[in-house]
Amino acid sequence: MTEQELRERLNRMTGEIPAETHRVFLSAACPGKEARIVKRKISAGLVFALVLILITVAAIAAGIVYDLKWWYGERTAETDPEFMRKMAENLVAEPEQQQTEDSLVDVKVREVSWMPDEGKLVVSIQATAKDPEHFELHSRLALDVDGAYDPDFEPDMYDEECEGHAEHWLWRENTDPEADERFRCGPVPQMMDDSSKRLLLFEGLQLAPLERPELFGYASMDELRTPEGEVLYLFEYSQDWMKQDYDRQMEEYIEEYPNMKEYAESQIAKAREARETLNSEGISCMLSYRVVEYIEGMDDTELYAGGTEGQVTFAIRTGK
Amino acid sequence: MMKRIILCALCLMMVFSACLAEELPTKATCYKIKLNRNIPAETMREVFAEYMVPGCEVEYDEYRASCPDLINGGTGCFLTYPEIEESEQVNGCREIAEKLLHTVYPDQEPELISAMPLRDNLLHDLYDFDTYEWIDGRWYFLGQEVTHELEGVLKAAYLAAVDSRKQIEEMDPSWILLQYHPGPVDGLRVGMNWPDSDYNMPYCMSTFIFDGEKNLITAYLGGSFTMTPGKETEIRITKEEALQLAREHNAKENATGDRGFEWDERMSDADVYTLLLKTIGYSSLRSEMVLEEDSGRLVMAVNRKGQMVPAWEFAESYSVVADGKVIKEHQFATDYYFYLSAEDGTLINQ
Repeated sequence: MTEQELRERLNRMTGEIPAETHRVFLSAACPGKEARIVKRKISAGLVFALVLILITVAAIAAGIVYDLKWWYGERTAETDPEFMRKMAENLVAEPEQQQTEDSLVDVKVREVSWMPDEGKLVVSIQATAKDPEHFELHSRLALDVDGAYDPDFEPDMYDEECEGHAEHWLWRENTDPEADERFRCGPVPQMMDDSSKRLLLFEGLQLAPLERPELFGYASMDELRTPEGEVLYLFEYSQDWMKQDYDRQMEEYIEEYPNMKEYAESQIAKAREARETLNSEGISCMLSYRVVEYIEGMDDTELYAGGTEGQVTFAIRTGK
Repeated sequence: MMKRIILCALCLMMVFSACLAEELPTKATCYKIKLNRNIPAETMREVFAEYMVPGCEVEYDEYRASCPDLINGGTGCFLTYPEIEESEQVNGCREIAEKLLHTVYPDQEPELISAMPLRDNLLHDLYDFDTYEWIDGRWYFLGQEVTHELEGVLKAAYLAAVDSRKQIEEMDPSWILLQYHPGPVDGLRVGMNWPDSDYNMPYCMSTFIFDGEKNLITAYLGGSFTMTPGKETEIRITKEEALQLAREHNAKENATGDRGFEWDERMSDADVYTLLLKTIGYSSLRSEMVLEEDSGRLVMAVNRKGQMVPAWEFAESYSVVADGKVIKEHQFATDYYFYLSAEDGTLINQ
């Protein structure tokens, strides 16, 4: 086939090529490409009231409980019934816990599930504004999700379809199941439920054992804000040592690499000890978080590292 | 008489040096660019189907076509080692690749920047990223032969690169990799990377991988652009001045940023690090970011305003330092580029 023939085929399908769509940046550099500013055409108060009513009605009608079962069953559509069964079987709801004094937010560990067969540990936490009359709470991770925030941004940057911005944007999940896009976003004040309130941003920093902080490794995280204004985080850890058959795998490793015997046996001993602790008194853990009040035009260093830090201590143990 | 001969010889040397010296333009046009990459999956199928490996399942996606049974997704999509090896096989594959590139990007004049057996490319990749070398059928890690004992340590340290090594060992040496980059703009080569310095995706680079029968195994189209001329700018910064600025930039970044790392940060625990050091005979391993001083070249680079402007391109890479001595250079050498405006020397991509 000649190049001409190829191009004719192409033109029949898609029109002149290249169609100058700039999608490269939108797909590679600006993941939030579908984002559009939601423009207010009626008063904010009325919108707020309507949205709140609709969301409340929808949530009540749907009877959504944002528990781990919902998180894996609905949000991430985990299809393995065995996984779901094990998660439910090992679930501990609201373990005994202690939050450091905090005048802005209540933070609690909602659910913990350690699944030894899967080598997984999942923990969900919840943050709520203490004074919802005056404060609106969002997740810090919902700020500038597309990475397109640039304080020195000038219009016409990259190209006209790439929506860089010099002001911070906030991401919201669309609660309307009929909505085309899962998220909507825009400048922070426009995305608040009630921009007359003060905005608090909550960030879950770390969840780790007190004595051996490295034990769980790194978590994969998810977060959302409920229609009721709570911020929820999910921490999921996957570690080989949590698995029941870890010892057997390490024995095989020793057989293959006898020079690693001493190291591997120490790993087995550490894993056994950790699993036994999980099965008995539990592993004492600490959740660290940060809360910062967002003020339009504030210093970015303060936004990213300022505010106040708090902790919640609790123990993780098997639910069986 | 002798004085005249010496004078004449000096004159000749000066003329010869001037001829050898790199001629740099004194002015350049800035361009506003518009990118084009959106080649839908259906179009990829229509254009590429008859060039793919016969009888093999092909996955088509936006600007991609590949045979997942033959190769891992993403193979060859990063620039590893820009070198062109001439061969009949390469020439045959080039003909097909360039026809396809012209079909989907008729406004672009692509420039071949890398052509070699895919296995050679992957070997460079494994050496540059994971410090493995394959010599006479044996693997070496940081210069140490990978014995069974070392293999055990490397597995515990998650440094074994088992899959990559196996892929290379089993790879058909007749498979060819071709990588294309946009051709020069007004005589200057186009900068290698996107505007954000940490964004290591090569700018509009397209990759083709062929089997020994010149059938396509993978095609990845990196995009093209059209340009609208803007203002003319003067090139005031010389190569020497740019190098000095680049050194200052590198020193400043190293002083303030987290640009090096101790290898124990990469290990699952301290015991593994100790074992690794003991096995390879060092007492410490550290990687430090250094300036690739020879990398400086005048290019047309995309700045953060979406304009293509003349700039000095420099690469940075990591040096692996063991017990205070550099034991490997140029790690990740094709990943970290930065650009200094040729007009005023300012950093244009950070």
